[in-house]
Amino acid sequence: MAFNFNNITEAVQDATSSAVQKGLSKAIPGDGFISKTARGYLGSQANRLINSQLNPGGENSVLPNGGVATARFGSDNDTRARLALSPGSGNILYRDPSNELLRPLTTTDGVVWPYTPSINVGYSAAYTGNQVIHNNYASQSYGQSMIEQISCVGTFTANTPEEAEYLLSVLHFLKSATKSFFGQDPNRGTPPPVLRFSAHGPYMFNSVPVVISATNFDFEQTVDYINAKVASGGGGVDSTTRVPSSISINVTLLPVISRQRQTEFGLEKYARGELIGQASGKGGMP
Amino acid sequence: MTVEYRQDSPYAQTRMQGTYLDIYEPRPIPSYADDVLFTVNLTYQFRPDLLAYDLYSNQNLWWVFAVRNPNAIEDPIWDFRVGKKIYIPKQATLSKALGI
Repeated sequence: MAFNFNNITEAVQDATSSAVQKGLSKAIPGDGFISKTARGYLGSQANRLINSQLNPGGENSVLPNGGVATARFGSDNDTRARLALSPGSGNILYRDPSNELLRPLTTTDGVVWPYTPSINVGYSAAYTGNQVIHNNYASQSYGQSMIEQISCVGTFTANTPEEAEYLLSVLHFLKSATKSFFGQDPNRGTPPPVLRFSAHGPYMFNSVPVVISATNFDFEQTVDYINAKVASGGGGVDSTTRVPSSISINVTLLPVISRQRQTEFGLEKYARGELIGQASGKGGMP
Repeated sequence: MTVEYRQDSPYAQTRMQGTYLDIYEPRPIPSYADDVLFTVNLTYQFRPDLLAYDLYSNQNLWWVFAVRNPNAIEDPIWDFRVGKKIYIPKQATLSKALGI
């Protein structure tokens, strides 16, 4: 017997709608004209939201596991180079609502390189050559395969105060993402956050889990500097900060594939392109 | 005679010069990573006022979707069409940003 999921969806929506009507009948009792009109008016408002899968006030839906359903920047269809937090990272760094300094990164869900960066990555397989005596060729024994570090070098520019704020957030995010949680942090002892790197579409770098092993900024003396005004600076000092109007940023990333994820690896699946990641799900295998 | 615009108006911060409005003073809506991404459907096509009423019980906030989604919406009404993906600002965000 085949299920018709459209019918099930309609049934759920009907049940939700009738629940709304029951609730309204309790809230606004009576069979008078005013009561009926008020119930119909409020009921249609609630039904429109339910059918559109929205909550009053634009609030997030709460998932059964206690998490919060969030819809982030549509990075699945974006082929620009991006370095974002993992979808399950929680409210840290730019996802911390109280972090004014990193807030510009929320609009793009992480660092987006405005110009195509230079990406350097190497794949290797290590073999050990057994030198058999009195033989013309070494016998190669396979050791392991690995992906080397990903080097991403790109230029950022700031020509407006908004771009300056974004650049300041980028610099501060990259600095912050190299440090571990420590001292006063509630989750102290946790290593630096695992990020997701994406570039050039799903079959190139698609939400690859990475950590930052190094980042370099070139604050050159030959470029202009522009003020970036941050809404709320730390330390009680003037929050106006200068950033260069053009800067080259070098980020060195190390792919991090968990042991659990490695158990899902299969060379045939990899070759068919089935192990690409999802921005809001599992990380990709580079 | 000057007119005083309500706090939920896009012109609330714009000053008056006699009977004329001065240069428009924008009213930014902060963006948060957990703002809900909504695809405009037939119910709300060209009706940001209806969506604002359903979400915030205030149809005068029709303009906040265009301000929150400057890359997606240029015309607050006619760009509000089926299939358009927009972020929905939360009631608490609007209360804080607009003072309503």
